[in-house]
Amino acid sequence: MFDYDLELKKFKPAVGVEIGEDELFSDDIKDITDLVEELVAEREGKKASK
Amino acid sequence: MKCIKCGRPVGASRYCNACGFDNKHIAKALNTADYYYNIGLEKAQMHDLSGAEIYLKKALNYNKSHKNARNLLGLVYNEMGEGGKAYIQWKISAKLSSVEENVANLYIRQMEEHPAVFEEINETAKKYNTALSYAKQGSDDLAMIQVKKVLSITPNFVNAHLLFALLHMRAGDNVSAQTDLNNALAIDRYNTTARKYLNEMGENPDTVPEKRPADALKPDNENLRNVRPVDHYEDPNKETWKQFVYMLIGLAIGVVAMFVLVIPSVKASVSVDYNNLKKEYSQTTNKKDAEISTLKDDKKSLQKKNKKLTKRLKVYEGSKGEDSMYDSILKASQAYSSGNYVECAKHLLKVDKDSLPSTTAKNLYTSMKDKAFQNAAAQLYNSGKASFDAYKYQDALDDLEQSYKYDKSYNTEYHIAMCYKYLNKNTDKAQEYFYDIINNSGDSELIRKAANLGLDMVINSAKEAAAKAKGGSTTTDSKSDTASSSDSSTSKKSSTKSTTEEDFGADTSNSNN
Repeated sequence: MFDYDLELKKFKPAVGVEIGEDELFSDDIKDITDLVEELVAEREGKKASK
Repeated sequence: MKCIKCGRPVGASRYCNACGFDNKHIAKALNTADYYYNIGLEKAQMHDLSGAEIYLKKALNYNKSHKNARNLLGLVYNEMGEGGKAYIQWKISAKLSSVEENVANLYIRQMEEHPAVFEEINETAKKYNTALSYAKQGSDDLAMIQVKKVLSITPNFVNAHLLFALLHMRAGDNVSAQTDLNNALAIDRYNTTARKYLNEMGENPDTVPEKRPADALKPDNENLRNVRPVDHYEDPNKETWKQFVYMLIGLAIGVVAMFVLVIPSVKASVSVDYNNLKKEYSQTTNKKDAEISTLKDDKKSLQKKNKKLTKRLKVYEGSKGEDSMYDSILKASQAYSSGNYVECAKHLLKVDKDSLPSTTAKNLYTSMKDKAFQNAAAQLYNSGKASFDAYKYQDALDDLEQSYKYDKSYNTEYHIAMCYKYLNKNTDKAQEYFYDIINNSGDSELIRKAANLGLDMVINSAKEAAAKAKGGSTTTDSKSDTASSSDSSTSKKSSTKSTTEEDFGADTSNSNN
């Protein structure tokens, strides 16, 4: 059965260009490099605490 | 490639020689990002925009600094009518690589150079979000009005077509919904949502004809037909006839403005210029007149000066073969020294005392003149009188006229007049002399002789005639008698005229007539 309300919920608001510089980069993608950097930082932090 | 841990460059083995970190996972992630980017590019080329979006996002999950994936994702969003998302991707790309070669900079510059594009994007987003909100609240009619506005601004907004289709489907208008979905698929050929909705309506998505989104936007009812966005950006190429009308109106306004504002202003300016020119011309003319007047005065002054200088030059050089005044003075001086006063006087007559440059010369002239003129006049009178008595009137006239030049004696004047009478020449002059003697000499004996012998009249008649000739009142006998002089030889003219060359020249010329 086709659920109209469910379909409507899939629609996301459109984005304009009236956004600040901070907002522009705030919800950007986190890539593999970011993850590895986080892991390395975490590991280095553990070593330091020991 | 740089080491993820220490940032130093790493070689092909991906091991960092500095910190020993193994960067192989990073290298593999970068390769995977490239792989997904290539798939995304392929899908974008096939107009599968939503598919391209998915793969490009994957590529960025592996490498968010993938400049090409960012730029292509921006293009895909832009093609799907989501300029805001496109702008964000390009801005991030430009921040990752701000060099000119990054094509994102060009896209951003193109957008920023046209503020209407920004306005269009914002207006689209705002109205779309309002429509979405209305739809979620169940106000489908209001939502459809907003979506219609959105699509009139941005006809290639795929999500707006999908929302419009969903609203039509909910309203039971499957035909309109199908049109909306066809429009969406014309932009994004393999859009899964559109295909799903078509399946739901029992349509085969693979048989969808290709349509241009703008052509698909037809108002489906009277209310919607009248709804128009008031502040959206319109493509100027679409309504050229309007531009033409606006151009004509602008032209008409321009012509009217020219007649109302420009031409009177130009006329006023010309009038002011003309008045200024006239004033300037008048001033110039006055100035020139003044200059001419000054020059005329200068000319007169210079002519006067020239005359004066010529006169002075005559003192030194003489003119027309005549002696200079210095020569005359010298010759007069010589004659004076030798006692030849007649000769001396003759030379002195040629000298103009006022033109003599020095006081010494003037004093010399005066001292010689007094004595020379007196003696010369006496000598010449005696000689003339002797000739007169001997009836040699011409000889007498020559001497007496000379004598008269040096001494204006009434006796001499009487004898000159008598010579004229006897020689029967210059009778007018003779008459004038007789009248002069009668009127002015005061010598009764001489008056009697002038009247009786000269004019052949009685004294009273002669006196009346003389007075009439003079133009004054008649003189009486008593007056003339009281002014008598005992010695006729000493009777002189009352006015002691200075003896100049001009005076004698005039007398001589008269006598010669």
